[in-house]
Amino acid sequence: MEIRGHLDLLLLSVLDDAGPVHGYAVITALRDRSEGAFDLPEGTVYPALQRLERAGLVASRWDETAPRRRRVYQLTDEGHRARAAKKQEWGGFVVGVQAVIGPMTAASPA
Amino acid sequence: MTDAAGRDGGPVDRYLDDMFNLLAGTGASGRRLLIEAEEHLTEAAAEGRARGLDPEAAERAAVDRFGTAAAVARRVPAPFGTVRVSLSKLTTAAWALTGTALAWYGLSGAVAWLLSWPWTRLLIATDRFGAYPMCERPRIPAVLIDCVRYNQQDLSLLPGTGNDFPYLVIGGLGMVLVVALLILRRATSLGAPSWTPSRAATGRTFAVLFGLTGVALVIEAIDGLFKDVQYYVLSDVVAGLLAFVIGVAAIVRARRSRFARRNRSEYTRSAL
Repeated sequence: MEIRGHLDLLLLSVLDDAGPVHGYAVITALRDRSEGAFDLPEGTVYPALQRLERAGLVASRWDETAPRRRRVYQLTDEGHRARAAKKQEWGGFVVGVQAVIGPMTAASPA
Repeated sequence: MTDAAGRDGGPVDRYLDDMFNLLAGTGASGRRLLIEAEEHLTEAAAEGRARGLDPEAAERAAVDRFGTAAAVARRVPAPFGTVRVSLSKLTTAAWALTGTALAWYGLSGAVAWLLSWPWTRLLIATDRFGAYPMCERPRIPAVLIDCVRYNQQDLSLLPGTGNDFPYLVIGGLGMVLVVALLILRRATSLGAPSWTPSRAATGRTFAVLFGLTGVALVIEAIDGLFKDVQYYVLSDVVAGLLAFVIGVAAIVRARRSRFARRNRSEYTRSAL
């Protein structure tokens, strides 16, 4: 499934729920929670996290306590607010689309 | 060196080498991505080995899931406004602009040359009913001329060039430049944001040049009026005004959408 354009909301949501985590854990959570639904090259998550950090929605630091040096990410206050706003926006979008295409039904056998 | 590394390195090492080359010029953002990529791939390969894969297969699976080095490197945010970044963006913009301009001018000439044949015959055929038929009563009766070829040479000209101008070579060169840029952007760090001018700046440049071309055509039309030239004045006025209006409309629209984006983000911030 193509997630371009929605990656920011997904990353903000994972970080909101998981707290301070490193990139690998973000990707694992994304894969597990979506049950592998998204066709996402894992490497593209790191530039996306950097972009969110530049936008002030995410903060990060190197965690030197782990056996290997890792970058740990967490939401800023603005990130929490942005996540709520984007979630609301997404909800409105889904309702609008659903109203047009009709309710989802199970695929009938051929 | 990774667990699957042989003399030339394992899949992860080779991948990181590729990425290192692609991230040239991306500064701290690129360095950070390289560290995180190594960390990620090492951990993913370890997980693969824990699932029973051999070291080579585990690393290959980790690299496959990570995405191609070019696709990942292309998304690295550009470093903040250093002179080097500005020059990099300017180089890409100049390359794209040169390629597009050469392709546009050369291919326009080639198309004009091709179309000049039917247009010439049409012009001669319709002029038969005019006051001065072009071929039946030539203006230079003492010289035997090939009437079609004589008039076709006039119709196939683009402004500023002669009939010997190598339109196809110039157009081909422009196409090669554009295609080479597209390929290199996919395969090298030329696709990274530090080498990519913003869409808005690129759009504005094209819109301004488009509008200026319109102005040039209108000026040529006015000049033609004073010289009492009939055959290009009307087309220059129409094409020039159209190009000018399209250019201005594109710039106004770009400015409006920029203001709208800014207002929307301010609204969102104030609503939060």
